[in-house]
Formats: sequence, C-alpha cells, structure tokens
Amino acid sequence: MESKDLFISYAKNDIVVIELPPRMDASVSDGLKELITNNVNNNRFKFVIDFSKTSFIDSSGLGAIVSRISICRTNNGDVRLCNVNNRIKEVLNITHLDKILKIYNSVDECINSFSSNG
Amino acid sequence: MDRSELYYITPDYTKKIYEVNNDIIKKIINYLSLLYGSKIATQYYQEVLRLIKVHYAYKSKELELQEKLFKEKDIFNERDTVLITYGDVIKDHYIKPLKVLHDFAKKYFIEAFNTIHILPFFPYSSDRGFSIIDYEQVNPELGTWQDIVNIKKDFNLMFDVVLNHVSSKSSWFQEFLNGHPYYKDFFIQFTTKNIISDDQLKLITRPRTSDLFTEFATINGIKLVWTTFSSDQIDLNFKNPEVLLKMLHIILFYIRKGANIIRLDAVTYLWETLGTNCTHLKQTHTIIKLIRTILDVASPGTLIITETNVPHKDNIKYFGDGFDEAHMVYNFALPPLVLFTYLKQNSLKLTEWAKKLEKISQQTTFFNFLDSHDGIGVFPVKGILTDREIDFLVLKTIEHGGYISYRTDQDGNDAPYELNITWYSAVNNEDSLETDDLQIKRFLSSRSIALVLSGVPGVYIHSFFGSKNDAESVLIERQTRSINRKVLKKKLISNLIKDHESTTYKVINGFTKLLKIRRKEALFHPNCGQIILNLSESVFAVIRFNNSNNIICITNVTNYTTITNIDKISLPHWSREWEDLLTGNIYKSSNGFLNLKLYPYEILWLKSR
Repeated sequence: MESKDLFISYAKNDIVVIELPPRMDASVSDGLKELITNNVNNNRFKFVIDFSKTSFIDSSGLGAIVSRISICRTNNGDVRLCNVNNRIKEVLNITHLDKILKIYNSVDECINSFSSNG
Repeated sequence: MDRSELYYITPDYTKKIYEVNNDIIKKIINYLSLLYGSKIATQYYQEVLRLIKVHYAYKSKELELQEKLFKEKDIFNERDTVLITYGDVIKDHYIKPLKVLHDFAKKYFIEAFNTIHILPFFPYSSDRGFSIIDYEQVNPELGTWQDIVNIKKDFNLMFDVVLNHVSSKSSWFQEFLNGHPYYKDFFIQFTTKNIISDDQLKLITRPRTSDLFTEFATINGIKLVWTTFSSDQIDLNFKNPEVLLKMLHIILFYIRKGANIIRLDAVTYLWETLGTNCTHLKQTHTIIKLIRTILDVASPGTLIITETNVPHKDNIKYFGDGFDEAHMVYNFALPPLVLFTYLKQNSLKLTEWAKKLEKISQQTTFFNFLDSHDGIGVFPVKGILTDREIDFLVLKTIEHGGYISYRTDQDGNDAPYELNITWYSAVNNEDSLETDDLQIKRFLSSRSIALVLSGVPGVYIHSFFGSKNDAESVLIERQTRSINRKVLKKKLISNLIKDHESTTYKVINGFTKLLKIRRKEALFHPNCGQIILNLSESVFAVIRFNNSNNIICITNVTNYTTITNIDKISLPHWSREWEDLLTGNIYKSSNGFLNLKLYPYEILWLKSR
C-alpha cells in the first residue's frame, strides 16, 4: 500500500476533506504531500485536515500539511484543521503554526468556515 | 609579537599613567550630563577616565606603537569577512568545543574569513547564550579564556556585549532580589502595573509576544520587573550610572581579551521612558556615542557594530553622523529582500531599495549578512515590502519547512517578526524535483549579493555548510530558532566536507571560492564607490569602482537564461575587454555596449581590463 492510501479523503463540493492516520510522521508525510499536490493540480485549493484519529505528529507531518499552503491561499483556498487534540495543539503552539492555521472543533464547522469565508 | 599577547595579563602602573585630553574629557562629561544631568556627570566622569587609564596600563609597547600608526581609513578593508558561529557548534567527544572550533577554523575557514564572531560564550541560563550569568567568565563547558586567546592568534574576533539585559540567575539580579543596596536600581521595577497606563503600554515597541513585565518575589515584596525579551532576561536600568560603568568596564575587558569588533546586542531597547515607544531614544544614541568616544581614545581600531533588528530607516540612524556612533550596522533589510528576490525571481524591490543606500562616511559601512543565529527578520522591511509581500515570505517559509516568530504590534496583534529557517532551505524547496546542483547554484547566487554590496560580509556557519532545516530540534527544544542552530559532530561534518558528492562539499567550495576572490579584489573595499544598475527584473547589478577602475557584479536571480545589455554611460570607467574574476573568461564590449547572456543563477564579476 502506498503511503497516500493511508489517508481517507473525499471531496465536498470544492472542499477536500482529509482524515489523517494515527501517526503523522516521516513514514506517511510524503503521501499527504502527494495527496494535497494531486488535488491542487486539479484546481482544488480548499482543504479540511481532520485530526480525529491522530494522536501524534512530528515536523515532517507538519511540513506536509503546509506544503502547498501558498498556492491554496493565492487561489482563495486554505488549509484548515479540525478535531485537534491537546498534544497536537501544543505542537502547533510551539511551532507558532497555530497563528497561521485556523483550527475548528469539527469537520462540519471547518467545512462551513469556507462558505462563511471565516 | 603574537597578536594574542598585545595586552598584558596584569596592568603595568610603572609606565606613565595615560592622560586623557581635555577635549575628550569635555565630550565624556557632556554625554554623561545628557544622560544624568551635570551634577551626576561631574561625580562620574572621573570613574570613566579611570577605566580608560586602567585599560591603557594593560597595553604592551607593541600595541601602543600599532595604535600610533593606525589610520581611521584602515578601519576595515576588502579582506574583512566574518564567520558567525556558536562556540560549541562543532563537537568532538570530550575536547572542549572552543578548541575544536579553533582547529576546524584553521583547516576550513582561514581562506574565506579573517574574523570569527563567537556568539556569547559565557555562562548563561537561556536563549542559547543571550541571558548571561557572568560576563567575565568563559562557560567552562566551552573552554577557557586561553582558548579564546588561542583563536585570536589566527583570526580577528567579534564579541557580543549583551548590554540590554542579564540573566535572572546572575548574581546581579539575585542580589537585587536579596535587597542588596548596590543593586537596588540595577533593574526597572514597579510595585504595581497600575502605575502604567494602557496608552503607555500600547506605545511600547515589542520584539516578542511575551509579557513585558515579570513578577518576582524580592526581600522587599513582589516587584514587576521589565523584561523585553523573556522572563529570564532582565532589562538593565541604564538610568543608573553604575550600570553604565559596569558595561563600560566589560567592553574594555573584552577588548583586552581579544575583541576587535564589539557587537552591541539589542541596543535598540537600552533606555526606557514611559510615554515613548522605548526604542531608539536619544539617550540610547548618547550611550553609543559615549562608548564610541571611549573606544576611539582607549582602543583605536576597535569597531562598534550595533544589532538593531528594526525598520531600515531607524537602523541606519545608528551610524550617527558617520563619526560618532557605530562603525557598522547590520544590514537587516538585506536578508528578507534577497530572499524575496529569489522566491519571486524578480530583483525589482531589491534594486529599488539598494539604489537608495547611502555611504554615511569613510568610517562607516554595512555588515552585509543574510542569516545569523537568529531568524531572517521581517520587521526591518516594514515600509519596503507590503504586508502582502511579507505574508508571501511567511507562507513560503513554512512551505519550505521553516517556522515564524512573532511580536506584538501596537494594536496588540501578533505580527511576523522573523522567519526561522536555514538560508539553504529558505531559497530551495526540498520537495521540488530540481537537481542538487541547481539548488546549490541558486544558493550561492543568492549569497553572492551580500558579497558584492558595499560593506563587510558576514556568513553564519550553517550557511557556510549549506545546512538544511533541523525541524525536529524545534519540537525538542520548544524554540523555533533551533531550526538553524544544530550542533554538528566534527567527524560527521569533516566527512561531508571530504565527500565530493555532498551538498556540504559543493557549498563550502563554492562559497570559499567566492570569498577568496572577493577578499583579493581591492574594488570590494567598503569605501569604494557603488552604483546600482536597473537593468532588468531578472538580474541584480552592482558596480563597484575607484578612481581608475571598476567591476560589474551581475547576478541572474532567475531559473532561466537571460540576456542583458550594459550601456557605456552607466559606468564610471569603460573598457573594451572585461575579465570575469570567477572564471577568467573574457567578455568584449562593442559600440559602447556590453551584451551579456546569463544562465540560470549565474554570477559574473567583470573587471575592466
């Protein structure tokens, strides 16, 4: 199985929802980058990253999440996070990525944030 | 005589005591009066004179002779290049890191650099050395003063004078907590925050998002203490003349220990007055003028460099009138502008800004660096790049695996302060399918900009090695700046330097070649003239010239081949033949034009023949 297949992803209108695996580390980060890049290449620039199953993330995992963020934002899209546990919130806080990435409580809230342009 | 032995170990009071001339005494009294009023100035100037006399008593006859022969115009030259490093960035088992650094530097740095900036090597409690516990000791984990003196045998040295703040673990602050009368006014303290209005707080420029005040329990009750940078870095109170005297003593002590360049760290925030923004206050400039006056008389040839990570227009004010403050200021706007240029593949912003750079005097110049132990500051390009352009740098930085540090702006919002990323990773995207050779070419091309502009170039050790991000250390050390502060094992880095296929080998060799050529070319003297040409958005072009000759430094900042023409009228000296100092290739002009084809990221240093 390729590492990109470890991610559950589906599109809702122009929004791509990606559910991350339990551990977001170097063994799977290339798969996430590929998944995001494939969608960007198909003109999808709005991403919801669902952490509900994820309890660990390292720097390569963080790097994968933001790997195409500038092209997304340039095209009125974004990469937004939801269902982030406290441990991962702490990682986001240490790296100050919590000042760049918007975080929501649920997938629905995260999806709706795009329509409300929040 | 060994240049590390120019000062005696103990003062020699058998020789004639130094007489400070009346004009200097008047200047010192004047500066002290501006700071503290005439009554206190009269009380303290004798103590300043005593420090100068003590310093003189340490000088060897050879040093006195050298200083007599010293001419201000020799204060810097094209051979001056600075390597910036921590004292313990390279480790080798149980050998003390300063000795490891010295051995390594003799082998790998000596052709490229004549000066080493050893970042604070004193006992400290946080911020990788910038919260000093004892200013006069070498951190025993790094080595001893003798190790520093040994490095001085082969290199000039730049020392930090961390004069804005001291560690909360220092004896100075501990004695303040203990209520020792001598230290009671060493720090800026309040009994309650209510004394300071919200309006006053909003005015204060902040380089961090941390609390400006930290609460400490003292023998005299709870005190709120001014902490600009962190709760462990306590701002010193320069309104107390004893604090100033302590720092003057430390500066002269560092010179005796080998410092050729005194780096005044975070000097922007030295003097605080409520109701102002507490940055660049006239008293701060007065303190620098006082230090300059003392060094001019006590140690001619010692340079002052101010570290002021602030908007460019404020930064260059630290040159003073060209003769009375810093000899060098960090060219803080340069790194973000060069990075922007390479990420956008467009030189327009850099060219526009560089055209406005002015030479203040023959005794001042820029310290042209692109990276250091800290991040790439974006505060200095406020007003040069738009918010949208800064946002572009921020997003590209995190895409390239870096992080961002923030400060609190005047509206209380978090604003980007610096980009935490290695220079190699900043200009290159590791995820791209580009070849290593192209990425190395882009890296060296970007670095060449800081070598050709008028000034003294500084290179951070991790750039000299072509280091990529150390993102894991950020999570381990909980500090975004750790991304560019990796400690390297000597054996590992030595092997990489020997491996002709490694990025490290190619970067070090490319960088050394540029620096060696740069150091041999008199037209790169900081006092040679400079003209910035606006040829096209694909290239950055600088002319360096003197009365008889000139050199065209032209760099393709893009990933594609570009053709450009240089018109005879844009140069001080024209020639039919031009030699590229980097390759030896000859370029011929015709009909008053020099037609040039530059391959992706190509650098040409064309000297008229």
